[in-house]
Amino acid sequence: MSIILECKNLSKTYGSHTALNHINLSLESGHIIGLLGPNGSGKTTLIKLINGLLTPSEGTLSVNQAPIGPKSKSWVSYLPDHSYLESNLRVNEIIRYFKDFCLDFEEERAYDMLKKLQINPNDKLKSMSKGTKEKVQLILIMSRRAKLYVLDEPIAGVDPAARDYILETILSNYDEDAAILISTHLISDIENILDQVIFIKDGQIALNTSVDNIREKEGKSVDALFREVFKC
Amino acid sequence: MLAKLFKHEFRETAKLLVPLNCSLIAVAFIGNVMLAFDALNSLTTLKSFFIAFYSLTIFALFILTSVYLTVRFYKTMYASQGYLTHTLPVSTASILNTKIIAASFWLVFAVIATMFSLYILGYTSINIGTSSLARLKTEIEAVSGMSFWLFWLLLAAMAVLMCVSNVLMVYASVSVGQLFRTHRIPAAIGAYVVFYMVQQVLSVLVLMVLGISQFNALGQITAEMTAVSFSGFYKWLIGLVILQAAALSIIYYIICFYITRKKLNLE
Repeated sequence: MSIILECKNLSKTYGSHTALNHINLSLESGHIIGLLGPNGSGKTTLIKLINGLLTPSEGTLSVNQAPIGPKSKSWVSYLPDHSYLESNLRVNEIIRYFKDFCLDFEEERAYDMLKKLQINPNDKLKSMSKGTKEKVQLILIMSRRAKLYVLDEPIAGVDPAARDYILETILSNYDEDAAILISTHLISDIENILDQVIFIKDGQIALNTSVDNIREKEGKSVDALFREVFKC
Repeated sequence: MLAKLFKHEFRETAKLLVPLNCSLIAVAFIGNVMLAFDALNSLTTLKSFFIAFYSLTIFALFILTSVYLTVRFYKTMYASQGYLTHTLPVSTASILNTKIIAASFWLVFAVIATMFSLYILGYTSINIGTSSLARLKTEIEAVSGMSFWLFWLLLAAMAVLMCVSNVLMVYASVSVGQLFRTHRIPAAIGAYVVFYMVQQVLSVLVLMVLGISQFNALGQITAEMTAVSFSGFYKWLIGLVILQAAALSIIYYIICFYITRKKLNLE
């Protein structure tokens, strides 16, 4: 196992507000990691920094030992927490786009998943429901053979039945050498698939440990511990 | 990767801009047919209506092209679609260059389409004889102080550079707007107004310096002054406009690049 993500003394400030405060973090490949924290704790800021959508105010960040740039982006498959694709495009046009730019994109796998979910590749995104759009985005992201998958709230906007499908898709479509970083509020829904959890509070890492450790040492579920740590 | 970026950018922008340019050519063809019919020549109201409609089509072509390219730049760079643009495994320079070259291309394309539409309209109604063309050539050479073809070449270079400079000014304004956490669009409009005013002041200064230098060179304005006396002025004017557009383009490009590279802040 190798280090896939490394943050050293990473900070991000917006004016006088500190979103991330001197974070030091290393993530190893081969794990599914939950990035958990209340609203405004700094989860999305960290995710945006990993994807080069924000620039750090201080510190460094590397993916597979490469600084954030075209090389790191070729290894990271990112699912934002909102719709980010041109709604006028058809699904097959978006697939062509991904195939052109992401060399690790497997077109066949994408079409296969679309078929299983009975999504017509000729349909335009604007004709789809919010849930279907989210499924399309997830299919595109999971059709890549990436080294790091970063999923920001992948199950927040879909019904419980679809959540199961999404989690199953995530589990069955990633290489064991890769790592998955999932940010979510719905801890009980994903707890069973997590290997490791990172609790983030007020821009700082409050806890970084394995799920087994929490169960053995604390004798609690991740959900129960989260409620205790972040009790209002 | 750069070639792929170009392919997708042109494919997407062509969906709206090709039909838009074609509609101007179609209007010109209709006008051509109208002018060709002698019977209609007396229908002045219809002709006036057509001229107004044709002018409006040209106006609409440039306004829609500019607005569409600006909105597209904002949406794909700094709004939700920026999440896809900036997570592609390509450099910031490649993304920016693609957007700038594609937008400049479409503006130049609109200029060419307008000239072509004028040619279509004039094809049947205006008959420029060989002698008129030779006289025009002599006069342009006398006034500009350069060869006929060099004059047109410099004019074309000036037009292209001004298109690029305008595109970059708008893109730099949008980029400055995204530095703000809220009210990004009003901030972009504010930045545009500031850039525009600075550019206007600069143009006036350039013209003043040029005017004063030419006035000194001539000594004084006399009644005997001919077009030839002004040939130096035109040479300098075109040269300075080209230089100013190039310098401003470089400054605007640096602003766009720096903000996208170092200050990217997607909501």
